[in-house]
Amino acid sequence: MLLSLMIFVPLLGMIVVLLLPRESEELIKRVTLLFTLIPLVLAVYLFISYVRSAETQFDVNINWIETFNIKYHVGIDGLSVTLLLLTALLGPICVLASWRNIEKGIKAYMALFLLLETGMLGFFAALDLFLFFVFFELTLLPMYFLIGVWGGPRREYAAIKFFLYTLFGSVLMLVALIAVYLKSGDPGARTFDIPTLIELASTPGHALADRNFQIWVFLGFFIGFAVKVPIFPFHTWLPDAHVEAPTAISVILAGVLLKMGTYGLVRINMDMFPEGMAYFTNGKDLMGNSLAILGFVNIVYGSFCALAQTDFKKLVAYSSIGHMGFVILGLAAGNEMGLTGAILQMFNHGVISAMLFLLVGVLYDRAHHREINGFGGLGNRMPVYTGITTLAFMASLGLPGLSGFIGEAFSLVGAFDRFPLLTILSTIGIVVGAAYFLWTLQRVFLGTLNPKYEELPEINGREILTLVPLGILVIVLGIWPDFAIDMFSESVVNLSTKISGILGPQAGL
Amino acid sequence: MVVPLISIILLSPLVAFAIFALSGLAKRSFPRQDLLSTAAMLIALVCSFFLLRDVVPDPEPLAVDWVSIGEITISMGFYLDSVTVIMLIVVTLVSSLVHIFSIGYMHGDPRYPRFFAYLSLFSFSMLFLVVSDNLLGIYIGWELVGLCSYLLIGFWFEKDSAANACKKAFLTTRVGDIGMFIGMMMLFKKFNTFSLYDGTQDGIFTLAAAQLTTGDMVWLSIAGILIFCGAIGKSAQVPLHTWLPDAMEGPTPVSALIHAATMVAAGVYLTARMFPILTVSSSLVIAYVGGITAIVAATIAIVRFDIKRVLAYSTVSQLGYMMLAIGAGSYVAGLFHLTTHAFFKALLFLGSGSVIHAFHAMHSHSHDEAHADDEAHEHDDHSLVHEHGSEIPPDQDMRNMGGLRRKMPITFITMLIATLSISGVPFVFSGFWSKDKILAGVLGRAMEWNSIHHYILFGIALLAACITAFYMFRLIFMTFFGEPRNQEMHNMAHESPWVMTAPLIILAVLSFPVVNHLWFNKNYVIPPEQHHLAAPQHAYVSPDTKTGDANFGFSFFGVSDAQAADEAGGKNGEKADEAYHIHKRAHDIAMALSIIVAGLGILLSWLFYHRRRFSAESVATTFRPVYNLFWHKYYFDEFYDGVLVALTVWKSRLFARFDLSVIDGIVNGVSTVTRRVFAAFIGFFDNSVVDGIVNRVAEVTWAAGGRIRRIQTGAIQTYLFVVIGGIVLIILIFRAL
Amino acid sequence: MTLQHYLVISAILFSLGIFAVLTRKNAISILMGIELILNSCNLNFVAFSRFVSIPVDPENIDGQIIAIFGIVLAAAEAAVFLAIILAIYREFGSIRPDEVDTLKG
Repeated sequence: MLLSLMIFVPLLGMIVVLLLPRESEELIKRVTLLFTLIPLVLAVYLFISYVRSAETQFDVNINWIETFNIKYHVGIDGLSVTLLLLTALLGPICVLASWRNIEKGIKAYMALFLLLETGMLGFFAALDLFLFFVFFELTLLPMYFLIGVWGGPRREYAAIKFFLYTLFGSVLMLVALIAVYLKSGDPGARTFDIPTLIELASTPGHALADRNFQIWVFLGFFIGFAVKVPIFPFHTWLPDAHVEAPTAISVILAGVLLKMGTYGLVRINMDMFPEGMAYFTNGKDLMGNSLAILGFVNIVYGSFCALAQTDFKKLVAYSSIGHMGFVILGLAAGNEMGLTGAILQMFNHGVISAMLFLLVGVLYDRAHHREINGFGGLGNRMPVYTGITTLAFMASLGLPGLSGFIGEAFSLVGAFDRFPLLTILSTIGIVVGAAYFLWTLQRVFLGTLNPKYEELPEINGREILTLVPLGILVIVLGIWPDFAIDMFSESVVNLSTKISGILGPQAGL
Repeated sequence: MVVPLISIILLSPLVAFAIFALSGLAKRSFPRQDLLSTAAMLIALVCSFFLLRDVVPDPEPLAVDWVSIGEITISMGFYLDSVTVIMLIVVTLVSSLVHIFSIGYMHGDPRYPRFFAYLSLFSFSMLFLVVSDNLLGIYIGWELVGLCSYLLIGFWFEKDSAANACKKAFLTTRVGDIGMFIGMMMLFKKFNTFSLYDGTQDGIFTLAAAQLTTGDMVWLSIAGILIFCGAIGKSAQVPLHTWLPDAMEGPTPVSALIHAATMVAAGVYLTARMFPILTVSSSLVIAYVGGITAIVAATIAIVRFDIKRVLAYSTVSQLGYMMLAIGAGSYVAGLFHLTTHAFFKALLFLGSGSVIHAFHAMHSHSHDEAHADDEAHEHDDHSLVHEHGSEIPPDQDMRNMGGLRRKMPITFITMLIATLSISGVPFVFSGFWSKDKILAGVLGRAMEWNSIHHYILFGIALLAACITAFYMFRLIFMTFFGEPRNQEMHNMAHESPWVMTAPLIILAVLSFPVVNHLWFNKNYVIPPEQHHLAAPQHAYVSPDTKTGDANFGFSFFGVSDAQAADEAGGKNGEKADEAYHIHKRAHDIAMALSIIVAGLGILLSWLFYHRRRFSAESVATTFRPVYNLFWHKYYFDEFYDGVLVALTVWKSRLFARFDLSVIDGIVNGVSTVTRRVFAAFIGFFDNSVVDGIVNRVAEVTWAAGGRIRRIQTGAIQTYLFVVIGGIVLIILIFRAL
Repeated sequence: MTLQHYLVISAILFSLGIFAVLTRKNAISILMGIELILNSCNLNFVAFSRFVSIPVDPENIDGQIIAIFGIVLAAAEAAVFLAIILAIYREFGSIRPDEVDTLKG
């Protein structure tokens, strides 16, 4: 019940916000903050009281649409509880980040934001395939409006691009979803229940366990999630959406929405279709290396594109593409190290990219532009801001001792086991990653101060408040990653046994 | 006692940094960060001395489980053997002295507290690296010292040259680190652990020793070389050495601590730590890289005029020396040279810092000038392709110095001691002993194996020793002897305050062989076994590899690892005895030769730069191409900037353009096509058919309404009439039915 | 006197009322017509109550009660009607229904 409460509290908050008068902006913001803090408290409680095992916990399973045997089934395992915590944490941070820089329609903005949060929380908790899809789509609509109404100059273009891209993926996903439903049993015994389907799909002889079927369905889901991740070549919505979206929405976009793609890959593609997964990661032929190749391309391509950017936000956006590549590579590895790395990288990238976008937002709010070459020497003018940015950059470029390293390193170590050559090539991305971040650091903060910005105010208390929790997570997870790994290691072991049971010790490229 | 002591050693500098960071977050700064950091370092120093007693010959690592995933457990912990403790003492000692020196040197800097905080963070990272018992821990410390190096080189980040230098340092070392990381992945793939020593599970060394008997050593050689790549980056070995001279843009105490004594030596330390898994092939690669570095850097140092760059190249050269020693199997010699070098090179840097400080008024003046210049620069000339070999700051240019020995007696004497030590002046200076040990080790290896490679390396080492003595005395003669070349600056020069001279004096004392007994006490430092390096000579001279089925020989240099290991196994006591005699003879020869070359170097330098018997300029003109090669630092920077960096930037632009035009172009194209073709048709259909029907219906309704509304007269009696008429009608109809 | 007598009277009254309502050009006359219709109904109620109740019971006064309700209703209606007519007069300056035709389509 607690879990359902957490999911729907923001929705309740939306209703409350809608009932408030449009003029009382401060009240609206406070109420929104309150309704995002409640899920955070609940998420922390769930995180603490979650018993480390591979079983789902806090299950709620009631009938919803009986005709199609659709259930309202939510529950959490180690993977989803981690991402729920991330989502719930970013909620209040984003509200705080929107405190001053949303100028029009604050009521509608906050209401949509709360709706978005319900969608995200529900997505990570859903254990019914249909419910999963509903929540997946539920995030789309508020996101479209949040970018399209409160975004930058090219907001309509970006919003529509985002919407259509995701919808394109969703359609394929829907087709695959229906196929799975129809294959799940005789009429009357069909089900959308994810744990049941997972079990059926690994029952030898069942229609769902058929290899060819799994490969096709895998592809359907994969493309749906690949758009979200985003995996090359479905990534071009991301830079546009990020550049146009307001700061808080960028934070959510990078911090949570991208994780929905990779979470889906783990939850559905890997767990439900291990045969399909094995087909794309067996390392025997081109198809068998394809997932790892996509990961490699994401890493290297994203990093090089980031190096060429002069818009601060676009740079961070492309760096996201690069970093999500490590997740794909780790998933392709399919072993304990790789999966742990991939899941950690999901979480860490959520935290770090959130920091980066918040930091870009801080600078944008002051200077009203994001052209990297237009700054210079801010290190002297804004020492605290520079310090936090350096921390975030270092975390993002994978400095050991900070969280970004663990995810990257484990993904690579895991992937090396199966795809040595691709992994070695992927390390180019690490060097290029260091290059673009340091170059940016130099162009924005080092050198002589641009006289235009002699009066630029230092980062203020509210902004520091949004960054500090993330900064603490970055450091704590860097020093003590077991804090998070412990939550999902059982699930990871289960998954990797499943995958390696099919694959055997075959090595690919 | 060990765990609390190590914890104190690690935590005290970390706490000093944390206080700075937290107070910074509250936009304040701790009032006496300098004293705090220094005190933290001194505490660590005292604790390190206490640890000396706790060393046992073959310690267990003190590890805790850090991450556990199913079967895999990655532990983190400390490993405390004699080498660790000696490194701890070296690091904490030099760091403490540099802290004290900095109180004087950095006085008045606007970011004075931050400097000490960074030093603390660096000390923590370095100490963490030293005590770690596993590769991952070493890697963590390794990257953290890199970060600190980045922050400290760029400490005066208003200068574009400093901003460029720090970025270059970080990126160059990162290239090497990637190699190290790949090496780590290879080892992990094979052994499923990062731990080096046996704890709850077998460590890499034990597992690798087992691996050596099975003979698959191509793979182990590659892993060894890859891990050494990390050392190439961090210890500034050719070809990744170019960052270290540029790193001299940082404040001089930083150069002394990080870029002379500790961080750059971490590469040597790592290579020494990995000693047990080095195969013959990887050792030889290490030795050659070290040897080439020693000679290349030494030749470049001859022609430098910037006092700090001379020392920087000297550092590179000496690090190459250490690598050469370890590659040749002289484990103790390499680490011993690391220790002695740490002290005398830190002394040289601090001494040069003292000289630079003497021109401080001039310094701040030029600083302002630099500011004015920088502001004139357009901002768009920040570029990844940066210019290098920038003009020498006047206060570091040896051509502005001369005759300083009377003005700065303490600095002069202490620097002279360090120079004598690095040049290898016999018997009373520590540098002689360590260098002698290296030369003897290499020659001994050559004689024992009758290996042409090691004879070549011995020759390189001797030549480098000679050049070292030459350029170091050139530095002394140009700086402290002769007549002042720049009278204005000379008048301003003054001896430094005691906080700066006291560390110089302490380091000068340490340049005498005071730490030798730690290294040569046979019960203290025990080199790890490396079976395959003790191979008999014919493993080297017979290039044809005996290809048995167990032999996957990696005959890179005509040496088969598998063969070497096989033969090493059969080594008996008689041969060991023979090897001992060979080494004894090698030692005598090496000592004699090293004294001769050092003397030769000093003599030449004296003739050139003091007596002016020969003119350096005329020699330079005679050998113009060679001089140019040295002056342009073998064109490494030109190659990297012109080719590698430019290529990377070009490639990134290409990718970005590809992304924007091709990938996004396709997406937008699809949308345009959809809009133009599909949507146009749909639009037509929609307008004419669907909308047409709707419009027709509307028109009909409209027309009908126009007619029907006439009924609505508005006259109430008409309505009533209709109503009543209707009722009557209904009644009539019902009647009719 | 039989029921028919009453009904004939009532029918005449009703017809007169309808005639007045449909033909008079003065709203007050229309009101009078309406009153006639109402009263014809009252008459019917009383008559039916008297003659048609089963079993025939002289004590039964249901019809009379309804008739009294009708009279009260008529009074109330007259008040409301007059008020409306006053309002119409104020608005249009006339109480002729054929001149008040703003609802004309």
